[in-house]
This record gives sequence, structure tokens and C-alpha cells, in this order.
Amino acid sequence: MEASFWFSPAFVISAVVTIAAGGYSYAYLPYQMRKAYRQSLLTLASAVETKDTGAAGHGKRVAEHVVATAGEMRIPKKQIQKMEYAAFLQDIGNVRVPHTILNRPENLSPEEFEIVKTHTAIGADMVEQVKFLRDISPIIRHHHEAWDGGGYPDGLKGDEIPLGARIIAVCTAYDAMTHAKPFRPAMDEEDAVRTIRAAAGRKYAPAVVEAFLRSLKKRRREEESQS
Amino acid sequence: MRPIPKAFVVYKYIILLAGLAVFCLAAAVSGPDLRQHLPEILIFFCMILASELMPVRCPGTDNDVTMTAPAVISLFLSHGIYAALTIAPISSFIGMLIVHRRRDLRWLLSMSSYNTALCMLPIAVACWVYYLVGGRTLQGGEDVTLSSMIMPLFVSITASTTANVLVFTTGVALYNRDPWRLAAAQTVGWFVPNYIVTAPSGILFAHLYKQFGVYGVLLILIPFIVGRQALNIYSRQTETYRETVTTLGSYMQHYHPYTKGHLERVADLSDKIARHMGLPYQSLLFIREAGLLHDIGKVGVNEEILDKVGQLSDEDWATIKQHPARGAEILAQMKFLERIVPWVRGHHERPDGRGYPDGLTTDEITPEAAVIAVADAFDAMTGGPDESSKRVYRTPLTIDQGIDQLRYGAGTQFDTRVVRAFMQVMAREEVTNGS
Repeated sequence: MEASFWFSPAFVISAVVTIAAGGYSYAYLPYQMRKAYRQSLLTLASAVETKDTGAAGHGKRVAEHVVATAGEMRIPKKQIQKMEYAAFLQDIGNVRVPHTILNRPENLSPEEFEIVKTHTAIGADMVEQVKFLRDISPIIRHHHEAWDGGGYPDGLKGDEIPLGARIIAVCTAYDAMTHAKPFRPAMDEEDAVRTIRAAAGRKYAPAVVEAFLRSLKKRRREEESQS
Repeated sequence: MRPIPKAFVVYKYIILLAGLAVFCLAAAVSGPDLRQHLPEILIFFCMILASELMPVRCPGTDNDVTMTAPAVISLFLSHGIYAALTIAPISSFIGMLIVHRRRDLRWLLSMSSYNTALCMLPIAVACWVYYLVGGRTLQGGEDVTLSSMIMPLFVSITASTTANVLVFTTGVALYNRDPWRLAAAQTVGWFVPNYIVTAPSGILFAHLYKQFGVYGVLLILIPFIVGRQALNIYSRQTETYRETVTTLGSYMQHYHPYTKGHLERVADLSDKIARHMGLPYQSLLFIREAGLLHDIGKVGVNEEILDKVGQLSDEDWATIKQHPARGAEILAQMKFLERIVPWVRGHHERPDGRGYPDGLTTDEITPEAAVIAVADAFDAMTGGPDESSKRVYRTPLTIDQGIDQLRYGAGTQFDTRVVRAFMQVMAREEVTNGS
């Protein structure tokens, strides 16, 4: 090919258009869309959270813990993304739990607690209906399972519990402890850490607890160095 | 499945005959011997085939657009009308067969030949108009400047776009039994961007082809493919997004078994009324979603208040009245659904100004909100056809009683035009159901 071809305006324009369209579709667009998608899931989740006094912002905060913990465990980015969505939507099943039970100021009766437990399966079913969220359904279903098999809804044990659910279980517990509920005050952060550490291997996956605590320490150090 | 309208079948045969006539005419006119240019013709053939195989979904619509137009134009400009009218339909026909290969054979052959014939008419118009206004093509070997091609091409593309819109719109209108105006809005949105944007690349292509040969083809083809990819990614992600929000959003409102049926019926009914009223095409794309999501502001509200039997306290009323505004707030956070925010916010407004949350009057309420208001009220009163979807707190009205209530409230509680459209839709439904 002659040199005039490579320097012709036609070639230059063609190359520029190709690069621009490629950059737009493979870099900018996915980034924009992920942001919008994330925002919309968060909005839907917070609409449900208003039902439960004291739950506002719970999903978002848990998601932050989950992303940090999963990052600490060197989980691939794509999976972390899914875990983050699952953390946002973990309690979306609460739409079918009666308002009075969610907001009961004192402890629940066993029957009422059974109703609360249904939110995991309901949430998982809801997410299952959405083609693009289908694979986070198991995480939502099992985010209240315990490491020793004492959790709900299916009493899964150890590695049977999806990794995302194991991570959310720890993060959710920490966030719930450190924030006030209508029937109890917020726990001190140090106490919460101690409680979680004590329950590692019983309620929570030991490896996850370790990663969570490491990430918590790291983030706190960063905050300190910033202030 | 609905039977295909007779008028459409007649139309189909007319188009087929016309297409066949054009094809025979083009083949009969002794053109230049294409065999001399076989490699180039083959490249064009592949290009047109590839454009047929790679349709692009228009963002925010349900229309596919192909890049066939510039390919055919450049074929015409470089090899003349004879080549354009023989090669284009053949590759377009084969492309159509491949795209729809999973459909049953009879449908496949009839639809592919119909679409091919449909495409040929505008191409023929484009070519003939081009010659008519004095345009010249490149194949003669004589030196034709780019600037002398632009004006005739502009005229011919305008003519063929008009022809395209006319033949397609008539087909779509007959097939869907839609009013012509509605079908036209759909096809204009489909063809105009296609031709305006891609036709200049036809000229450019012919020019580059003349200068650089096959390499010129690649200069256009590669940006085309990448650009198509960009558009496809965009529309796929928009779809993902809308589907997720709508599905999840509507499931979130199912605090009750009856809500699911209610939302779906409101969406269907709103869609029918809006279509009948001839609302803008862009609105029709979103009206179903608005119907499904109109009560999303109720998510998180204590369901005891929503279901309360008997008189509500002032406090409860205040809570309930918040739901349109809250729903609008939620949806305002969603990209691509901005359009429906005022519809959801306005679905409890009344023409007499006594609605909530803003107390708007007739002209201030968007028509889409008025449509949802009527569909919502009608379904809430009549409770849907099956037992499971009836509301707990009162016996539902019959369909006729519901219609009477709407007619009674027309002008005060409901928009008169919408109620009229609603009654016409119901009358039509009754006819189709009865027959």
C-alpha cells in the first residue's frame, strides 16, 4: 500500500472513529451503566428499608463492608460486584413481612420469628425473576445460614453456604450490632468486633471473619491517617 | 395467535408482484457485464449480507436498523443500477433466511420474499430519481467528482426514504391493525435516522472505493462494525437495566397476592387506552412500565393502612397520599425512566383540581397520568376477572358498574377524553370477545 493511503484523511478519520466507538462501548459505557445499575438497585432496596425502622442505609453500609472484605480475600472483581448487589438486596423480601412484626419493639414470639425468617426465601424468589440477577439469588437465600448449620432457611453448613452469603452474614451482623434498633441501643464497635470474633467457627466462617477484621482495621487506619 | 388481517395479505401480494416486476425489469435491461467485476461484486454482496445479519437495536425502541442502505448506495454508485437491483435483493433475501432460520419454512419464505420486495421498491426509486436529476455513477470510467454526486444523491435519498416510509408504514398499519398515523410515527423513527446518518457514508464509500479499492471498503467497514457494537452494547444494557428495574420494582409491590394481577391489568389497560388515544410513540414505549410501577411509592408503607377496612384516620390518609410523590422520587433515581416520573406522580390527580399530591387541573395533568388514573381506578373497582385477585375489603363491581362509575366521574375525577377512549376500547374488546 502506498504511503498516501496511511496519511489520507479517510484513513485517519476511519481510525479515529473506530477508536472512539471502541472506547465508548468497551470502557465508558459499561462504566456508566454499572453506575446507573448500582444506583437503581440501591434505590429499590432503600425503598424497602423504610419499612423497617432503623434499617435505613443498612444495605449500603453492609455492601461497603462486603466489598472491602471480599477484596481482602482476593475474590475476582466480577464476583465482588455480584456480592455487592446481593448485599443491597439482601432484605428485599421484607416487603412481604408484616410491618407490625418488623417493627415490634420487644422480642418476637417463635411464630413471628418464623415469619421474619421467610424474608430470605421471598427475597431470593423475587431476585430469581430478574434474568440479570438470577445468580445472586442463592446468596440472598442463604445470608442467614450459620457456619455450624444452625441458621435458616435450609440449615446449610460450612462450605455448603455460598461464599457471598458467608461474607454478608458477618458484615450484616457487624452493622446490625453497631446500629441502634427500636428495642436495643447500638453496641460499641470494639464489643461488636469481640462478639463476632467469639462466634467465628460457630456462626461465621472463620476465614471470612479474619478477612473482615483485617479489612476493618485497614480502613480504620486509613481514616486515621486522613484525619 | 391472532390471524393475519386479510388486508395485509392482499397488500403483501401487491408488494411481491411489484418487487418481482422491478427485479425482472432490472435483469432484462442489458447492464454491463458484472462478471468482469466479480471480486468487487462479491465484496459488495458480502457487505450487504453482513449488514442484514448484523441488525442494530435502536436505543429505547423495539426497532432493528440495518446498515444495508449505505452498502446498497455504494454498490449503485460504483456499479450502477443494474448491479444494485440484482445483487441487493439476492443478498438481502439470503440474509433474511439466515437471520430467521429457526422459523418454520413457509413463514420464512413468505416473510423473506415480502421483506426483500419491500426493500427493492425504495432502492429502485432511489436509483431512478438519481438518474432523473442528472446524477452519474462511477462505473463508466469517466471522472465523476464527489461534489457533483452530492445533490442528486440527496434528492434521491429523500425520495426513497419517503417511498420506504410509505410502503413500510402501510404494511405495519395493516398488519397490526393500528391507525396509519401511529404506524407512521414508528416507521419514521425507524428510517429517517437510518438514511440521514448512513447515506452520506454511501457517497464516502463510493469515493474511497474509487481511490483505494478494497482497502477503501475496510476504512468504512471497520468503523461500521465497531460502531454497531457500541450501539448494541448500549441497547442491550439499557434493556437489562429497564427489565431489572421493572421486574424487581413490580415484584416489590406484591405485598399482597392481588397486587400482581392488579398491576399487570393496569399496565395492559393503560397500554390499550394510550394506543387508542394515539399518544406519542415514545410514550407508548413506556406506558406499560409506568402501569407496572405506578404504586411503587407504596413499598415500605405499613400494609395495615393500605388495607384498612372502613374509615381512615387523617394520619393514615396523609401517609397514603404521599405514595405518588414518593414513587416519583424513587423513579427519578432510575436512568432511562425519567419520562415516567411525572406520570407516576400525577396518577391521583383529578381534572377538578381535588386530587393529590399537587392539586393539578385538566390541562396540567399529563395525558399519560390521566390514562393510568382511569385504568387504576377501573381495575380497583372491578377487581379483575378472577377470584384470587379480588380485594378483601369490599365486593367488586361488575364491569358495567365500573364503566358507569367512570362515566359518572368524567370531567371531575377522571379526564373526559381518557374515559371516552376507555369506553371505546371496552366496546371493541367486547366485540372481539363476543365474536
